[in-house]
Formats: sequence, C-alpha cells, structure tokens
Amino acid sequence: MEAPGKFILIPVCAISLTSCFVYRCAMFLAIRELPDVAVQLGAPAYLRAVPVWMTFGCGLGLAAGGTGALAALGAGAGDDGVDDETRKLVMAAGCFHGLGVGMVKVAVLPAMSQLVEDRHGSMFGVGLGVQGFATKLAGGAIGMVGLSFLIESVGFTRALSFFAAALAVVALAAGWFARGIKLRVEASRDDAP
Amino acid sequence: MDNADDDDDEGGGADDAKDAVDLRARLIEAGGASSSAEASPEKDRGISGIPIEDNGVTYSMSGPKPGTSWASTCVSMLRDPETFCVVAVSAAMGTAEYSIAGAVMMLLSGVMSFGGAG
Repeated sequence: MEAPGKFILIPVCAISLTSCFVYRCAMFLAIRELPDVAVQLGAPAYLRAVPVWMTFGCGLGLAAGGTGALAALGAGAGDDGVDDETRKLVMAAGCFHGLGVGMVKVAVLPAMSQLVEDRHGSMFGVGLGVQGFATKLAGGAIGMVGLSFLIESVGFTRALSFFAAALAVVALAAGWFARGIKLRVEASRDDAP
Repeated sequence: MDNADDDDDEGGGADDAKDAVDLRARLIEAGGASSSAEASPEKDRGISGIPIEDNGVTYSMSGPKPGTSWASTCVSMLRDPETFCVVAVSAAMGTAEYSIAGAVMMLLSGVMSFGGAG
C-alpha cells in the first residue's frame, strides 16, 4: 500500500475502533445514570413515601446486587471475551447499580442537612464538606485504587464478589443505624391549601 | 473662683467617666452590650448582620450558632451515630459509584477480561 493510503486508512481504522469502544462505554454510563436521574427527578414524592433507613438499605443493597451480578457474569463467562449477550446483561446490572446509587444519593443530602440543623449548630458547610470529602475519598481510595489492586491480585470476578459482599454488609448496617432518621418533608407552597 | 469652678467641673467629669465605666462593666458582665457596640452602627444588627426589629423579633434564617467552630462541629458529627451513619453511607455510595464505572468501562472497552487481572 502506498504511504498516503496508510496515512488515511490507519487513522480511520483507529477512530472506528475507538468510537466503537467509546460507544459501548458511553452506552453503559448512560444506562447506569438514567435510573439515577429518574430517582432524583422524583425526589419529593419519593422522599415522602420511602423512609430514610429503607432508602439507605435498599439503595446500597441494589448497588451490591448489581456488583454481585457483574461478578456472577464474570464467573459464567470465564476467560472469554464479552459477547453481545453478556454485554446486555452487564448493561442491565449497571442499570440496577445506578438505581441503587440514585436512591442513596437523593436521600443523603436532606438527611445530612436536617441532622446538621437539629444537632450540630446549623453548620451546613461543615456537613456538606465532610459528606463530600467522605464520598470522594472513599470513591478514589477504595473504589478506584483499592479495586484496581484487588483486580490485579485476585482477578476481576473475585474482586467484584468481595466488593458486593462488603456493600451488602454496609447496606444492612446502614439500614439499622439509620432507623432513627426521619425526614421532615414540609408541604410546598403549591401543595398548601 | 474660676479655678474652683474648673476643679468642680473636672471632678464631675471624673465621676461621670467612672459611672460610664461601671455601666459598661455591668453591661459586659450581663452579656447585653458593650460600649463599642453601642457606638457602632451595627448595634441594630444580629449575629449574622441581619437587622433586628425594635420589638425584639429577629427575622433571620437558621444560621450557625455562635461559639461553634469547624473542628468541633466535625468531631460532634462523627460522634453522633446517625450523622456518622450518613457520612458512612456517603462513603459507601462513592465507593460503589467509582469502582463499578471504571471497572466496567475497562471491561467493555476490551482492555480487561472477566477472568484476567488487567
């Protein structure tokens, strides 16, 4: 092949291949985020109907279930690549995972702000800072660095199994310890008679 | 006579100054006000600078209470089991969110397989 032809063909192949991978990743992120966004859009009605302890327990439980489903898919697939059927199941597991994370995310901020107002001198900035710091620190240190070390040590499937088990334990503990948290959901101006 | 009048005026001025100092000390002791606050145009303002009406009603949003610091609030938050629970749930949520996103994207992009270790 002539040199100018290579200069055209190689970038086109690389872009096509990359865009295929990017498309899959973007599709997964979209499917994972959609339930999260849906829960947040319905937050007022959701928070009135579901108590905080159930939100924490079920949300983290769903996230643990999604992680466990990914581990189970890995156990079933073995060392083979990800085929189309498995990819759809991975997307479905991601959807449940996103729903769980959204359930927790939507209740954490109101619960924290009301606890700070009632018990910690209305220092809302401190509450928001501590909560955000905990989320990002744990997400980075445990979720990304810890999981990468675990994957290198014991493999993808076992690492996800361990994470799923840990999340399930945390879900149970969160449901137990949060049973005393009750959100005050005040009627908005539109709802007032 | 002029000198005597001057002495009387100075003596009265000293008494007035002493009374003012006593009054100021009593007010500070009672936590009511200080002379600097009385002299300041901020005297009609609350802690967070929000005006206080003459009838004593404070129109303010719930703000931080005086005497609370960032560090002491952090400590009290971590000592309270329910607030600590919310912080721990946030940490677990962050862990779940970041771990799966990165790992599955590596999986779907073909960088990593289910059985492999990277």
